[in-house]
This record gives sequence, C-alpha cells and structure tokens, in this order.
Amino acid sequence: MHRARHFAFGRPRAFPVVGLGGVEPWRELLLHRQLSLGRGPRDADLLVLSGEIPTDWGNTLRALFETMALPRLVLYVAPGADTDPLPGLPPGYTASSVEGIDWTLLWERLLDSQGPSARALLADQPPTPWRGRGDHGQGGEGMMGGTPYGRPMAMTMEDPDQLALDDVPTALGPHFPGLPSGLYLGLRLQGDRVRQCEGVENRFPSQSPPPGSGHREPALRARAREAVPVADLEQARLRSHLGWLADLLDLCDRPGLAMRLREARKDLDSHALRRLLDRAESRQLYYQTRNIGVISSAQARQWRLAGPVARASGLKLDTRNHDPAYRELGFQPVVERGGDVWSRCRVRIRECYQSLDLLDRAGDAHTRAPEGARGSFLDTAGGGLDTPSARNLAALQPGLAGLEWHEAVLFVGSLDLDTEEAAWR
Amino acid sequence: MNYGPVNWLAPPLALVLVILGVAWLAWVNRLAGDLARGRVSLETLMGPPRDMLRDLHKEFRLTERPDLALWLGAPLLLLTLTMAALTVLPLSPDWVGADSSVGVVFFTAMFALTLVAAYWAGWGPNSKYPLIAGYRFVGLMLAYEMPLAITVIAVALPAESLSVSSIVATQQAAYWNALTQPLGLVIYLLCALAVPFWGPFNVVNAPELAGGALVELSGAPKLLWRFGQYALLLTTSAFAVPLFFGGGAGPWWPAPVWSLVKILLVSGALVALGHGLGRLRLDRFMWWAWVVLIPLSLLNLFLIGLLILIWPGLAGK
Amino acid sequence: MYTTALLYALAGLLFGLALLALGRVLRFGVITTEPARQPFESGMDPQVHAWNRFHVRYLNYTLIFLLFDMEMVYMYPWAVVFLDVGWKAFMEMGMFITILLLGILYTWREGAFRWD
Repeated sequence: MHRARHFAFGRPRAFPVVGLGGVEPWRELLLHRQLSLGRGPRDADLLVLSGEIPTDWGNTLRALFETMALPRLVLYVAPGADTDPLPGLPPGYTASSVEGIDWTLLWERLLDSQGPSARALLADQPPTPWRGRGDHGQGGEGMMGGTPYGRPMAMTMEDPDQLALDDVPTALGPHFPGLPSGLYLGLRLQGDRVRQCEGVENRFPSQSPPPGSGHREPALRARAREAVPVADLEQARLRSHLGWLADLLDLCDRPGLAMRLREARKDLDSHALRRLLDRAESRQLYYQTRNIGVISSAQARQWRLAGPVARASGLKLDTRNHDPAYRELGFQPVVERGGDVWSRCRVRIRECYQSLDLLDRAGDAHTRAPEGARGSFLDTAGGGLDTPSARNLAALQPGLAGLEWHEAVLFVGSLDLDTEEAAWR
Repeated sequence: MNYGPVNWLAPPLALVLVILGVAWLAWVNRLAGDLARGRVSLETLMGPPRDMLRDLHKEFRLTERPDLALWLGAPLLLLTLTMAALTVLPLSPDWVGADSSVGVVFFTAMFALTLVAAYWAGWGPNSKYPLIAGYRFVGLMLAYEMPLAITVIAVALPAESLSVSSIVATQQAAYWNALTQPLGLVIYLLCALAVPFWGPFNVVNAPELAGGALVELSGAPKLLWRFGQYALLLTTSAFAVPLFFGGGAGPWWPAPVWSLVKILLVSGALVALGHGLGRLRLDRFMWWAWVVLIPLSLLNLFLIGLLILIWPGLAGK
Repeated sequence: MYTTALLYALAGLLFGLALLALGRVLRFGVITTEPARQPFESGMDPQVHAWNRFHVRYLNYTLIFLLFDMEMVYMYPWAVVFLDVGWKAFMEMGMFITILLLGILYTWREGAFRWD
C-alpha cells in the first residue's frame, strides 16, 4: 500500500502562490520534472509558496490550503526562508532554492497520514450560520436577499437584454491559475459575461524596489542615471516577454509550446527562440485573440498606459527612441494599431525578435533608457517611482466591462501586469 | 456471438474492450503531450498508471452545498450512455450487441444525451467556474449536433437502412464511405472531437476557467469523469469505422480484429489531434457551425444523394 | 434490442460504481469540516451560491436548433426509402431543405447569429 501511494504521488500536482520575488523560483519549478501543474487547489497535492509571502495573505492562504484534498503539503521556496512560512499554515517543506529540495523527504511528509497537514486547520463552522425563526431552526428569511443555510443567493439585476436575471459577484481573484498572483478583480457576472468590474486590488504591499529585482533591475538602474549595458536591458526584456508568452499560451491551451518556450528562455538560444516565436505567432493565436478587449489610442492616452500595451494601441511611447545608443543601433519602436489582445501579443513577440537582433549587434554599448519590459520607469512629482504596471492597472476596470469570460481572462493576461512591481513606490 | 434474443456475453466483453481502449487513449494522449513539450521519457510510460493510482488515493472532497446526485451522476451517466451507444456498434456481422434497424438514430440519441452529463458536472458542485463551463458546453452542443446528425444520415443513404450493420454491408459490397463522402468524413470527425469536448472544443475542462468541471473534482469521481470522457471519445471515433471505413473489411485477419485496429487508429489520431490546436472561440464557432458547417453537411447529403441516383453501383446495387 | 442496451448501460453503471467504491476504500483520509468544503473562487470567499438564473446568450441558436431538429425527424425515414423512390424523393427533400436553409439565411441577415 505504501509503495503504491509512493508511486502514485511521485509527481505531485502543484498549485502556485507567488509572493515577493517568487516569479523566478516558480518558473524554475515549472520546468522541474518532479512536479506537475494542477488546475485548482482541490486536486493539488502541494501548495507551492514561492518567494516571500506578505503577512496579510495569511487568512486567504489558510482558507486555500484548507480546501485542498488529502494528502496535501505546503512547499515553501524562498531564499533565506525560515521553517514556518506563515503563522497559521501547518509546517510543510521549506527550501531556499529549487535545487535544494530533497524530494524523498518531501514525499515522506506529503504521505504522512498522521502529520499536521492531514488534519483540519480551521474550526468547523458554516460561513454564514443559519438563524431560523422557529425552535428547531426552521423558518426565517427567503432565498432572495436573506441568508438561508449557507450563503445567500445572487440578486436579480436588469440586463442589457431587458431580462431580469441574476447578477453574480465573482472573483477573478488573487490566485487564479494563469493570471498574475495577488491581483484581485471583483467582477459582476451575468451569465458568462462581465457586467462590470467593481474592484481592482493589488494585494502586494507597497514598498520601494528591493535590491536585486531580477529582470527589472537593468531598467531601474537606468532610471537611477546609471549607464546600463544594452545587452543586459534587452536580455531582461526578452526573459520577461518569453515568460509572459508561455503563461498566455498555457491559458490558450497550448501547453506544449509554452513548455518549450520556458526551456528556451533559460539560456536564450537565438536560433531555437526564433523558431519557437514563429510557431507562437500563428494564425491560431490570431483567431483566438483578435478583436478582444480593444483599447483605442485615445483611451490609452487618457489612462496613461505604458509599454507594449500603449504601443499596441498606436502610441509611440518608448524611451529607447530618444536614447543615443539605441539610435545608433537603428532602433525603431514596435507599434501596432489594433489595440486588441492580438496587437498586444504581436507587439511583444516582435519586440522579442527585435531584442534578439539587438543582442547580436549591441556589443558593448551602454544606455540610460529606463525602459523595462512592461514600459518605462518614471519619476513621480514627490520623487517616488511610477512603475509601468501601476499605470497599466488603470485599464482593467473600464476595459473589462462587457467582455465574455474567456475574453476577460485573455484581456487580463494580455496586459502583462507585474503585481509586485505595480506596488512599488 | 448471438445467444438467443439477449446477448449476455456482450456487455462484459464490451466493457473490457472499453477499458483497454481508454488505457490506449490515455497513453496516446500522454505521448502526444510529451512530444509537444519535448519531454518524452520513462515518465511518458509511467504517467497514466501513476495518474490513475493518484486519483484513486486522493480524497474526494465535497463542496459546501453540492447537488450530490447530479455531481456524482454526471460521470456515471456519461459512462452509461457511452456503453449504451456501443450496443449497436458491430465489430463484425456476428459480433454485435444487438443490431437494431434504427441503430443510427439510437447512437445519435445517446451522444446527444451526453450533453446532460456535462451539464450536471457543471451544475452539481455549486461552484462558479464549473457552472460557467457547463452552460458554455450546452451552447457548443447546439452548434455541433446538427452537422453530426445530417452527416450520419448521409451515410445511411447508400445503405437504404438505419441499421449500422447494413451500412457496413453496403460498404463492403461497394466503396467505403470515406471515399464517396470525404466531406462527410471530415465533418463527422470534427463532431467526434466535439461530443467528448476534446482539444479545441474543451470548454468543459477549460484552462481559462481554472479547469472548469475539474476544479472541484478530486479523487475517484475525477478519475471516472476523465475515464468517461476518454470512453466517449473512443465511442464516437469507433462509430467512424463502420460508418466510413468499411467496418471489419480487410485482408488476412478476421473482421473483429480489423475493426478493433481501425478503432484504435482513428481514436488515437483524434486524441493526438487535440494537442497544440489551442482553443476555438465559442461565439465565432457557433456562428461558423450554423452558417458554414450545416450548409456543408447538407451539401454532402445532396452530393451523395445525387451520386447514388446516377450511379446505383455506389450503393452496391 | 433494448434489453441488451440496458445490459450494456448496466455494465457501464456498475463499473462506475465499482470505481467510486474503490476510491472510497483506498482514499488517504477525509476532512468534512465546512471551511474545507469551500468552493474555489481564486482564493476569495464566495459571496453567493453559484446557482443562479444564468443568462445564456445562445437563445437565438436554440430556436433554430429546434427547427432543424424537427427536420431531422423527417429525414430519418426519408433516408431509408430514398433509393427506392428515386428522383422524386430527391426533389421533395431538396425543396424541404432549401426552405430551411432560407431560414438560416434569414436568421443570419436578421443578426440573430450573434452570441448575445
């Protein structure tokens, strides 16, 4: 029995929660052959907490872990992690890096039926206790607007079709598999169409960018008036775009190409990447993403959008355009006119080709253009940092209204929001 | 294989064949996925049994207020309908569960009822993402049901009968329907992918809905749901063999063996085709199905009608 | 025939139930508390039950589907007698189908083939 269980859970399913600085460890784990990617938390075996988890995520993560079916375990991967990732979560397996994971020990802890993870964490209480009127708890409020046993039912709302149907508050929430971690979107759905987006919340804590911010670092150093090698800036841009493209392809149900892109992203082999980008920029992707979530250039200007999102709507916003080093290399910003999801994909893919090209020719050139992968890092009036992802968050609330579900998911994915970066000040 | 009016040996035998067929499809699917990822290894071989054991050992966790009868009934119904449809599938003139004179109508009806199973899988768990997935699948079904039915009628036309065995007999006397109705074959294979919501039609287990019907499923019901989906894919592609590929016709080997080989080939090809095609957009597909696919299937019907009136030899006369 | 079909269906049902029972026997453990049963909504607490009066936006398609479904009822017996009756059957069904195709054309022009 134990051998059978050991074999059965030999490649545990992971449900990711990405914290501060956790994107790269998670991407590394995705490539690992010992792990497989699940869908929701219910069927997952491991709750993978990658990076430093903000403390106010504790309640959400506790609830999330509780919904996981047995056997389950918390896998905490963060540099310099201590044993207990968050108070309230049972001790699982902690590692400071992906290579340092001892899989045998992990399996032992996962399959430990007497362990702390195999017991219920939270008290057995219904979310909304039932208050009936009668002695035996019977009677009470009706189904609409009251609180019957459990949760209330959705209320009715007028619909553009003049039908009085239900208006369902749904979260496209902080931990939706495939979308940026920590981004809470409160939607009100009618059927599978979004009536409006009520709330946009970035759950990452506001702070100044930490030292060693991964692929945003070259652009941040450029903003600090440092001369950064063009090769560094372009490599960072390439890595970011390729990671985004792989995640989008996972959402579009093409996991094979996504995995190959992640592999090629590790060592940036120019030839292999060009071939994969050719395959990605296909008619399939075009038909799947065209005419979804159109942002006109007027709207892009009004909402102060940044980077590839703005360039896909026809705005020629690129700080590299004014930089002498880039101008010497013959740089032209990549601009598309469509403003839909396909245009945003196309801009980023063309920028990948452009980066590969620039990497070949850049040599030892240095630049001061603070152009990150998602846009330019600007200074605010008070001397703070204005990140491109924070500016792009403005497109969510107006842009999501009226979209169908799959369009909404693709729209959020196409904005390429880095929630950790968006919280920087 | 007929033992009087009721064929007692056929159901267990069919069940065993379905189990073997599903195992075959699980491996083909795994191989296709690993090829697409560029990661073929020993894990490709070990993967399907590992996943099966994992699902058996994993806990089945209820949601807060599910409709348990519908939720658990969904995979059971799927499997029941699939097996019922297999009653009229002839592996050879002798090897058939019960050859009905309206076999075509029967299995089309069984496939149409699988919609109910997919809807139950969406409604049962009382969770938002599966619900959306279930309703979207109903929309998809409206799109593909008509081309499927029309194409199957076009196949019945040369045989002058709605019995699947007569369709096979006609093909063996004349030409395979794959040759005389290539358009019908393509449409049928497309619908054979859509009925078990496979590949581009995967709106039920959708990644953009965090897994759709798979979000709240874990453990043995999840295994049964996936098993039912594979079994349905096996069945829809299995019917392509007597309808289009001449049933058990072939040299040297006996008819049942040929039937099984063809079934494995067709279903394996369809499973592999589901990879790397991305997802179709439901709204555009529904438009396309009604404005393009139905007229095409009607055109197919007209063509074959015309052809067999002009050349009765095509119908084995 | 229907007895055999019932037996096939029964075989499938029994196998399904056996698999569910096997899962019940082999399972690792079970937790039945209320918070453990919370439906997944990307980490947030669901505010309402998921069951609702869902706005299906393919209403127009259902009507024309019904139309064609009734056509199928007529086409099944027609397919059986087609070759015997010959050209007359071809012409008659041709007229029937053309009328229905005009229905599709009308629906298309009226703009009903939009997802909402």
